[in-house]
Amino acid sequence: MIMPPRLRKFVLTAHVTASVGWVGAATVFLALAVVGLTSDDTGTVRGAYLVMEPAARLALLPLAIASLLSGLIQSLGSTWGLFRHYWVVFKLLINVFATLVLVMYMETFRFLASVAADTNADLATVRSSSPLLHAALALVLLLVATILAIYKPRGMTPYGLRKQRESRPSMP
Amino acid sequence: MENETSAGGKRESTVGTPRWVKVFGIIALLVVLLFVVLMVAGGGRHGPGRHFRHADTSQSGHR
Repeated sequence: MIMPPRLRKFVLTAHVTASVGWVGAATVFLALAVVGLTSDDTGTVRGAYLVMEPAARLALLPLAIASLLSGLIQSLGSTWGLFRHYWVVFKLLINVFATLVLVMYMETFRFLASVAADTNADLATVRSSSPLLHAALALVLLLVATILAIYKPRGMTPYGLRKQRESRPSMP
Repeated sequence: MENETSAGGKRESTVGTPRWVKVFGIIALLVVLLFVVLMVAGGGRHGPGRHFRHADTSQSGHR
C-alpha cells in the first residue's frame, strides 16, 4: 500500500532522524571505548564501562529498532518496496544484522558494567577492547547504509523486475 | 531511506545483476560467515565469554 505524501514525509523524517541518531550514538560509544582503554583515571575508566549499558539500553537500542521499523514502513509504503531494489535489500540486511548483534551485545554491556562496578577488579581487568571493535564495525556498517540511501545505486532484483513488468500496461 | 526521487521512471531498469551487487554480496557473505564461525566458536553465544579476557573475575584480575 502506497502511503499518501504527507505520511510518507513523516515516516521518512522519523527514519532519517533515527538512523542519523544511531550513527551519533555509535560514535559516542566509540569515544567511550577509547576513553575506557586510554584513560589513566580509575574513576573515568570505570565510569565509561558503567555508563555503556544504560546508554545502550536507553539510546542505542531504541534508535536501532526505530531505524529498522521506520525503514520497513517507509519502503513498504512507497514505490521502492522492500525487495525490489538491491540497495534497499542491502540496507535492510545491514539494519537487521546490526540490530541483532546489538541485542546480543547487551549481555556484554551488562557484564562489562558489573566488572567495572567491582572495586576489587583492577583496571586491566575492567578495560576491554571489545566495545571499540564493535562500535567501529557498527559505524562502518551504518556508513555503508547511509551511502546506499543517498546514492541509491541502480539494480532491480528479479522480483522487482517482475513487479515492474506487471505494473506496465500491456502493449497493443 | 527514500527521497523525492521516484523508484520508477528513468532510473531503471538494468537487466542482470550489477557488479556492485555482486561485490556487496560477497562481502556480506564473508561477514555473515565470520559471524557464524565466531558464534560457533563461542558456543552459540555472542556474549562476554567471547569478548572478555576474564569471564570470571573472581578467579583472576583482582588486586
